[in-house]
Amino acid sequence: MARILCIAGAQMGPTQRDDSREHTLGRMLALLEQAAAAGARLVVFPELAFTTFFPRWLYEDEAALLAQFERAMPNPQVQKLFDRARALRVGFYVGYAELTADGRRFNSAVLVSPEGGILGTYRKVHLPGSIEPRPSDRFQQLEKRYFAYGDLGFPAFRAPASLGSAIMGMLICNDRRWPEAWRVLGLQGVELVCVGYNSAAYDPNGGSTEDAGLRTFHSQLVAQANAYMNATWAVAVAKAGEEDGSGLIGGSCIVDPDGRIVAEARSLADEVIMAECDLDQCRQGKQKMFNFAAHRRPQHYGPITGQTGVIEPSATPAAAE
Amino acid sequence: MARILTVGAAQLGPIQKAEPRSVAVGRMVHLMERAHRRGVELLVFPELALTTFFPRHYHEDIAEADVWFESAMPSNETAPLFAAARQYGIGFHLGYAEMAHEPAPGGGMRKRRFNTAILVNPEGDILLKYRKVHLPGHAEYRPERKVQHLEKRYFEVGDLGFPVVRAPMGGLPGVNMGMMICNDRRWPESWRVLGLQQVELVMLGYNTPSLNMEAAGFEAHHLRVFHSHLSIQAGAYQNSCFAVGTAKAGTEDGHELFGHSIIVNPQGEIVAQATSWDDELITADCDLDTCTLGRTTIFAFDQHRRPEAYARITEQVGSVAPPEWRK
Repeated sequence: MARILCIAGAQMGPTQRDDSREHTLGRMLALLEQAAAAGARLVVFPELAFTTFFPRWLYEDEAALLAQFERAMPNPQVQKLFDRARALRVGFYVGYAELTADGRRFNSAVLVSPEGGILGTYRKVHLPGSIEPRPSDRFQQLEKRYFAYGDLGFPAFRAPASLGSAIMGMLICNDRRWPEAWRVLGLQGVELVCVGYNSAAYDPNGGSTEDAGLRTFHSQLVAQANAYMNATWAVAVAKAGEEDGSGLIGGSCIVDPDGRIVAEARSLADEVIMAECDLDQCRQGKQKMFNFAAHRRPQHYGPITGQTGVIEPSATPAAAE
Repeated sequence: MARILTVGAAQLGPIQKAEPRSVAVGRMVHLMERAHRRGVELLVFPELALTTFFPRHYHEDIAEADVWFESAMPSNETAPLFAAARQYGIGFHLGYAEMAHEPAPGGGMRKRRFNTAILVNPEGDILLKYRKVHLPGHAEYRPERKVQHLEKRYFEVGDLGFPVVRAPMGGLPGVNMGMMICNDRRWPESWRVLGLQQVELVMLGYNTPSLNMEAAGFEAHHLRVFHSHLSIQAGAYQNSCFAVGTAKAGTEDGHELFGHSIIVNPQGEIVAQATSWDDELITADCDLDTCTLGRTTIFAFDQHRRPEAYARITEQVGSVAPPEWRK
């Protein structure tokens, strides 16, 4: 028996620094309407969907920085999205900058049920970039400056019947390149992973060895491989295009538990991609090739949790016997 | 300055059940000679390269399967391979079924069986040994299967972890080299444990059926090769290393194994690929310094990994579902 869930990825084109919140929210509402009209029961928006990718800028002015953050979710400046989604009976994932009551800042995402309840919150664990700005670079990557590391782990959530009772998990952007993140979700039986991202269309480290094509390849490679290796559906959704002169890749995609791309964005603009996802398609992988209980060997995985960085092998070749 | 190591994948066509090791070794020596002419410094042979993929055959008495195992390495039968390596100045990776005679806990000796690979330098030193950790298949005969897959019957789970050695290879004074075997490549944990030792080159051999033999549900045939490539490409990219994946391919004992051996760079791109399902050599010049970009930026583990969020990976084996949602 199939458990079909119709899922949409709502890729967003660029959001400029001077765009009003209302303008951006209007675009999101239009994408929501389009996806719902086509039959989607879940819509996945990008990371930091309500603003430009502001960590590319050094904010000297604390108030200007904090204007990018949400003090509650929902709140009056995003309420229309929640209201309309509930009216349409559509669930959604959305990424945003979270400011807590005690002043902590996270790069977060929420999963909202079609009934309007918050199923779960995730705070990004793998923050890329640097704390200090790089003086020679026009565009910064200051996530480590503006956000604290997520403190919620990688929780999976059992969705209500209106979302197929799917076991759902969330990742944000750079998390998708880290197989540990996917595996922690996989170990909770995840069937659908939602990922929003803002990924540079150039070598973000100042070099010239990576271009938009290679960066898009990497983005899709990790979504495909990790979906396959955890026998889960994945929806990876970009904010794409030129934001104030800084390029972001597109390449939003829906990936099946065999690692196949079943829907893919064609533009760098606002665009809805959709797929009918049979959640039961996860079962073959989970019961066979990736039957974790039968095949995993944690006694040999110690370094993954036991160390953070690299420990190089000894320079002396040790003969095996 | 570039650190170039010229590597080759020596894909093997099928080895039939009745064929003696001398036939396989002769083919491998021939491939090594061709590799030498192409300037290869390190050559990767497949998993269980000396025999047919015998775990498809059921022996009720496991001792009957001992015929497929090597009690010594090198041995009289494999000596020509070591001699060719010395003659041509080529290092090599070889997969084989290992019979180890080790002291038993209660005194005396015991036989231990592993699915093993070794890395050998041109002088014949065994630089590194690896015993396969992720054994697929099953331990008992399964009548519902079209073909048996008895790795869990014939082999113990490897007991050496995922080691990396830094040793001279080719013209380079030190290369960080690690190994995995076949099914290990689908497990990101294998790659990460090697990555955490700054591996620059991962070698792996495989024998993988071109059809899903479980008969437990539909799997499109073309996905078999795709999954193999996807796992190797992502493993290399996510750990900023080169990878060589070498098949034993073709129809063995009436059962088809796919080929499509590949060499992958640290960007996850396939830089060489076999197109036959027979003996075939593919090669690539690997600039090991291209591992540095990923390792020092996006995958700078010391700056970006967060083990405090990874506990489940080592604390649990199987999956544990989350609680039901309540409003």
